[in-house]
Amino acid sequence: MAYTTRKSLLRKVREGDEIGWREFYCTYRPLILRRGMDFKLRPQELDDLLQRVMEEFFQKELLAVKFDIDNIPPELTFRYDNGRGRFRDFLRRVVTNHACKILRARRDQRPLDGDSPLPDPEAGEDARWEQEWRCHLLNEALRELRNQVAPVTFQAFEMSSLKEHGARETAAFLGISPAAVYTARSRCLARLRKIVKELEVRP
Amino acid sequence: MKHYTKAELELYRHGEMGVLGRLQCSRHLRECPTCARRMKELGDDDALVGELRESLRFYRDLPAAEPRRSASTRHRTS
Repeated sequence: MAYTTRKSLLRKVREGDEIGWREFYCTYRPLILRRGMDFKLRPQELDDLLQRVMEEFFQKELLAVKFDIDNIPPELTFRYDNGRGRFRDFLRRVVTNHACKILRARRDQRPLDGDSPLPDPEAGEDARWEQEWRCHLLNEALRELRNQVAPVTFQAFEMSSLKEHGARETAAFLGISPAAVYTARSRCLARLRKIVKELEVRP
Repeated sequence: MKHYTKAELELYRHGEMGVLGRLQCSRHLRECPTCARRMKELGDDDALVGELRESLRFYRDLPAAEPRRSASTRHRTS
């Protein structure tokens, strides 16, 4: 039985759908911040990085109007052109480029304040980015899984496996048998693998 | 030959089967490649769960504050 109500952002990217500002922001904010933290950006710089990346994706519309960044109209959207290559690579380049610009500006403003060399946006950090992307992918897959299985199945899986409460405790809490908890876990992991595989196809 | 489900094998490996059931399962696992493979798959499941927990932790400690400044008035540093 399918409970799907919401298409994940990665699916939208792949299928060339319109992507809303808020959805993009909520989905990619953690990944962008993590990447910024890899470059040891300070809190204000992380904030700046986030906005720069958002502007890169929604630039035309953002520059045309004046409003608070938290009150972006829902009709503000973008469509990813798959001709640009893999979305994950494109996003990595955008985020890394802006992180480097911020670091360069910091160095220019305070040349004596730590003189570490700037990272090369095209090299080096790929393995780390792949790991960060994998975490992002799994988080997305989990969100999608929640919509695809019965609530009690997800709850049994989440409580026993992700929150480590154990099968007995979970079973007692949900009023089901421990075997049913394990069945839920097995079902969720099988479905999750399928979702991850689907999400990995292109973006 | 009747095969064990993953849920039953979970009960076995977590010591949640009765004594008789445990003995039967143990003997069956020695003789049945299908169930032995299924048992091994549970190890793969554990690895995936570990990865999922790590992914959740990965996002947990991020700065909570969201940007508040106007996008159009932000001071550009480049």
